[in-house]
Amino acid sequence: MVMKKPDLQDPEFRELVKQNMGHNKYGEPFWPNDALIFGVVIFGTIVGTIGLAIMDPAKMGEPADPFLTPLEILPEWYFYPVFQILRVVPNKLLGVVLMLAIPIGLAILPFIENVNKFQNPFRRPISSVLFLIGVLVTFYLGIGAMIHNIPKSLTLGLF
Amino acid sequence: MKKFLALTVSMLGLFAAGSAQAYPQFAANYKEARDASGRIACANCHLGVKETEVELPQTILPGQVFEAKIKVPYDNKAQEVYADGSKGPLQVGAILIMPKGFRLAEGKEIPKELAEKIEKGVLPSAAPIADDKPYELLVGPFPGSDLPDKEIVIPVKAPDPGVDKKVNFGKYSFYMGGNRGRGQVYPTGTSSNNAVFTAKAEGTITNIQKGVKITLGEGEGATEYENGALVTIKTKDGKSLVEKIPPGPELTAKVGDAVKAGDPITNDPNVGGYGQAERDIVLQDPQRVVWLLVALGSAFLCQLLLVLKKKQVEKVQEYEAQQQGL
Repeated sequence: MVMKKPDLQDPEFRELVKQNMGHNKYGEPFWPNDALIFGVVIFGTIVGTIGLAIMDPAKMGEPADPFLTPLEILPEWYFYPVFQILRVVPNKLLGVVLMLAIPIGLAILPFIENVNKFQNPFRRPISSVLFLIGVLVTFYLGIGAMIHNIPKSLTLGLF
Repeated sequence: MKKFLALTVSMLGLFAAGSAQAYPQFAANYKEARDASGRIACANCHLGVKETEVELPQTILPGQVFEAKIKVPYDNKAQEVYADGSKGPLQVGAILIMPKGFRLAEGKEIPKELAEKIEKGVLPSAAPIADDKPYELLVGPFPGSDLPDKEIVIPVKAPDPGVDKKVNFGKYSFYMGGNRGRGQVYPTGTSSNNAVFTAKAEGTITNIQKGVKITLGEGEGATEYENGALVTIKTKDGKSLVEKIPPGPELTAKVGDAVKAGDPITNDPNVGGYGQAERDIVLQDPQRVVWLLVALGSAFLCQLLLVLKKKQVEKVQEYEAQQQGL
């Protein structure tokens, strides 16, 4: 594979590198090397979607009855973790406040380690660890929401 | 089959009203056996909860005969109370609610092995819930001790959208319920003799009379029992209250016991329970699968050509680099 080498004699390029930019000036060119592989990925995605649509199509739901509560109340899957918070917390107001904590926490996350000059997540240990803990808690809550029995949903039936 | 017939006949005899009604069949009384909340009518009578598992193929072709397997785990040694108060092996039953167009496989459509088993009485046979609802099936009551693997197998025939224009290809939901034992309530609201009986008021038990003929419920839902019991409770304000206990549940209260309202005065004879499950099934058009394979093949060919093109481009680049002496 032919790699274009960085032209360190070019003062414009050196200025860009100083500012942490100019990465498109060296390495493997996008056209045509990478663009061809884009085609492979695009075809793969389209065929995967078509295959799922045919082999496992979406179901036509049944007509709803507004006067009957379903046996199991569950929101869309991406709301499972938040739903689990609301379900587990005994106080409704506290549940709503904890729900608000999610967007607030996500908004604060980039500012927590702002004294750190690095962008690389491996060099921002506090932010990264907090984010990973958040991901783990989200998965734990999401799995818990799928377990109908509330005490069992807290331990995930493991203990 | 003989066993099943004999059983049905004996069940007929057990009911004072003489109707053809035993536990799974009560679901036929409802206009819709399953309501929009997802609950099947069986849950109205079977108050005990037991697990029910379901096995269905993921995809079926039009007109295909397939097996719907309903697993009803239970204790083989369990003895349940029958309608006359005697005890016997646990009866099992099931309900299968399919989308319109699906129906029970009949005669030669049933795979040979399965047909033999049903004929020999090893597996229970299913029947439509009503003449105008061939897509809703009922099974049992069937003696649970005879059921191999605790699994009810129902042969089902899928519709063909090419013939039946009302049916479309796509994904459908199957709803299944598995009953073990008799229910605790009759559809009329009357308690059956397979339930726990409680004191209706606070007081002291002053008298227990056994071997009496009693009637539970009123009007249409009334059920008569021989050999029932009458428990008299004297309340604090001096009134006497008579509780009717049918044969089946054993009296745990004794004369002289003080009871509160809601205290059980019998044991709980129920060993069964009910559970329901839901599975999706895809009614697949074979033509679509063929065209999908064509699409998959052509997409793979395109990807292969793109990768080969990249390899070619790389070779040209290498050659050019050599020419420039890099």
